[in-house]
Amino acid sequence: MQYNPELLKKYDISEEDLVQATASEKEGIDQMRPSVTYWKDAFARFRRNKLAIVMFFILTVIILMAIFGPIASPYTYKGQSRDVRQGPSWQHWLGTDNLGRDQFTRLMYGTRISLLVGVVTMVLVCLIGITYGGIAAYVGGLADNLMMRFVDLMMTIPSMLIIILLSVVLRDPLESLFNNPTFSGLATIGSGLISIFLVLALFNWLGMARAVRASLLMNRSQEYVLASEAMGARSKWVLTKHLLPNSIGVIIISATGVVPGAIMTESFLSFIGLGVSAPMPSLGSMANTALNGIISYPQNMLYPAFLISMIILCFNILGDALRDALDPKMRK
Amino acid sequence: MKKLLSIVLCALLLLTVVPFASAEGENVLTIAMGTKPCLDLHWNAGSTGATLMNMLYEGLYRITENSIELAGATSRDVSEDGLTWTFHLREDAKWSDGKPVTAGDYVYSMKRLVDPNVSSSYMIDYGQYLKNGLAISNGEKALDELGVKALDDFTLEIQLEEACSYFESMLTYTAYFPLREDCVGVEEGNEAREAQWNWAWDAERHITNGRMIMTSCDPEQEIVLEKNPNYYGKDDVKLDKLVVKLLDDTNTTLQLFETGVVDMIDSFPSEETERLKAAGYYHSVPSLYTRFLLINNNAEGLSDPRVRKALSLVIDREFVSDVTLGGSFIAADTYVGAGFPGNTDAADFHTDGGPLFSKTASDEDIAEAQKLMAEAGYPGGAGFPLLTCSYASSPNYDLLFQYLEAVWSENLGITVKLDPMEGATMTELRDAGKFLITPQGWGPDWLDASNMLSIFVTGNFINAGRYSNEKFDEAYAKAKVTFETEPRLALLHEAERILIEEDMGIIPLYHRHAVALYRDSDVSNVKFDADRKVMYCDVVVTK
Repeated sequence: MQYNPELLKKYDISEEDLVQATASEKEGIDQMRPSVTYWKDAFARFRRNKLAIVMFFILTVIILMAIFGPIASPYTYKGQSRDVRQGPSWQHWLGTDNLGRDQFTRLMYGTRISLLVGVVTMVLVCLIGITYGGIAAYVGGLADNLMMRFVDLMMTIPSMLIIILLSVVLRDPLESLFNNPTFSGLATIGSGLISIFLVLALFNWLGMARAVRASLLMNRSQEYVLASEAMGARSKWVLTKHLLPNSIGVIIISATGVVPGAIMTESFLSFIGLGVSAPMPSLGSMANTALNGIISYPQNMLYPAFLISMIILCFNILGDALRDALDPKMRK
Repeated sequence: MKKLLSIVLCALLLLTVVPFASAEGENVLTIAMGTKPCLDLHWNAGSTGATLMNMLYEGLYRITENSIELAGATSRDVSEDGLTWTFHLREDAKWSDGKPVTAGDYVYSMKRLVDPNVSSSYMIDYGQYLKNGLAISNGEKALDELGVKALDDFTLEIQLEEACSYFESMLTYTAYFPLREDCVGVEEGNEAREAQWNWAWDAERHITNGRMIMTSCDPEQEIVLEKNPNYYGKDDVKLDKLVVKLLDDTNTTLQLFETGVVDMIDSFPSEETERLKAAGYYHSVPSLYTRFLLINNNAEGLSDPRVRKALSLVIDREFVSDVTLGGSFIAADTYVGAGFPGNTDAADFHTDGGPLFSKTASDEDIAEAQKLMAEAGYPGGAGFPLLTCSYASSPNYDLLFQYLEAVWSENLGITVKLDPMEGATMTELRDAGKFLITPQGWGPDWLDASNMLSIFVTGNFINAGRYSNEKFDEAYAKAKVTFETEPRLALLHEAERILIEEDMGIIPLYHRHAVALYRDSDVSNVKFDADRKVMYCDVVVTK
């Protein structure tokens, strides 16, 4: 057996002091739990949650439909025809709307917009929230106090009112910005949608910042961080190897919590006519259109409403399951 | 004790559900309209306000089922030059407080119509017919110089600025109705526009002379009208009481009708039309109202009549009105719709003139449109500036403009952007002329084709697209002073031809139906007058 002479010298151990373990001693080690990483452990716990698995598959199907469905469909979201207000048929699986556009294709586009809003908002929220919470927790002291009071202040503002105001106000400046050739690429997404991204991110990062700061502060006072620091670990090491990985659960849970909220808000904004600009559909604007003929054509309201509910339900249950799975204290 | 209390509470709850029964044998009709109808004669520009005021007030003339007739006057004399009109008022007409309706009440009303301190810009169009009316509105002359005088209590003399062939029809419009000076009161110090006509919603203060009087009014909730006991012809008024529920959401309105809370409604989501027709509730006549697109006649590209014609040619109006919007509209083939008086009693203005464009868009029409675009310098839409359509967001407009976006971009190759917005913002932009294309509608205030065309005379307030053509103005002005029916209508036809066929200064789309939704078992004797308004006072409720 070869020992590392440097290590031996560092800890001042002589080679003679080291004794080989016996076979029976080795057996005792084997009987301990198999070594599992944090993620394997979490995945195992997640898998035991049957409801979450079902929801995961439903959500996957919805996401795949939203991404690839419009490509496979022979119709577009704006292609009109003379066959208006038809019931379901082989040509049009969910029938057509008032302008003869295929409902199924429009639903897939609408889902795409809704999911896009959810995901983009989540990414923006993560960026702002983690940075803000991280700085507050890391700098501490007066700066932390001031930053967190600012968050408290923001939370007292009735967000829906401001979101409605901002999405109205932001439209024109964004539009003139897109007329600038440098940003012409963004114009294809539409100023309505981008203003929605911005206002949603602007009011959803507060919870994330709080959660990240709390988690960082809590972990920072744990003994293992103290031990690591006592052994001379630098702050960069402590942050990347201990604090962030241990906060990842909190971050993921907060992030999945943002998605349904964002989708709901977008649907609401589109429903009152402030969302994406027609003819591009979103689930909310489709529901709004269907309201006009809800007694004669209730199915047109049911489709988008069902999809909105399903997506939000999926994200909420998945978020719940992830919280259980990512919390090591839930280990049985 | 607790039990008793719960029983009492339940009973109270039940009370709120059971409607208060009306007196036995009373003829009570419940209808629904939009909230806050303006009930001030000189501020109202909406049709709901006009409908109510036609019942509350009576002017010199009234609209009947087929035509117009003298109402507040028993006879009239016209001077040879057509400038001086003398009306002999009926002496048995009384206000709701019992005082007689005098010529002074008419004088006060018409002075208020032109008073620059009172009237809205919309009213200038009506005041300018009276002698010195326009000068007074512009602040150039004193109010006392208006050519309207009370010769005695029951003789009214009206002098006109210039002869006007359709003045009698105009007198059926609410702005010329009499008004009691002592009931008008503008809220001092309140800057809001609405403060100008707030007083009219005070049922105790509002004094009227029509077939009905207002007994209660909550402009957000409900207005109740009852038969005027002082009205000289009260025995001919069939309705005892009219309850008007005020709501803005057409879905809720329809719900109230379906659950029987409301007996009759006139607006509902257009997508429900087919079902309501099948159920037998739908009763309609073509209305005189035309919906059209206002086009900014000074904007780059749109200033070329060839472009405007191309935009019009590719629209399949029959498809839009019959299919897209659910069949509650009639495709237009001219600007002035059916129902205006024509050369003979049998014909009307529309049939006399014949169509000016096609209701549908054939392949030839589309090819023609593309040719026109190329001639205007935009072959295949190349180089045409972004066409923004601004409109107040509503289910019907959303559908209409999504359709227009598709036909214009597909057939003409131009880029179209839809910009729906909130109604008040749109009104502001439209009145300021800050738009490229926006929808507008017009229903006549008096029963003559001249009213449809008058709004496109250069400088008119409604003409927000700034359409202007000397030839049109000239033809219209000539028609105004021509009293013989046939040459007069010929001039109006010529004006319409210039507006539409030559210039396409606006793009007419469709006409509305005047609709009354009711159950035949509950309501009978529903008639529309010549202006296509339901004659509520004649309705008999048999529920």
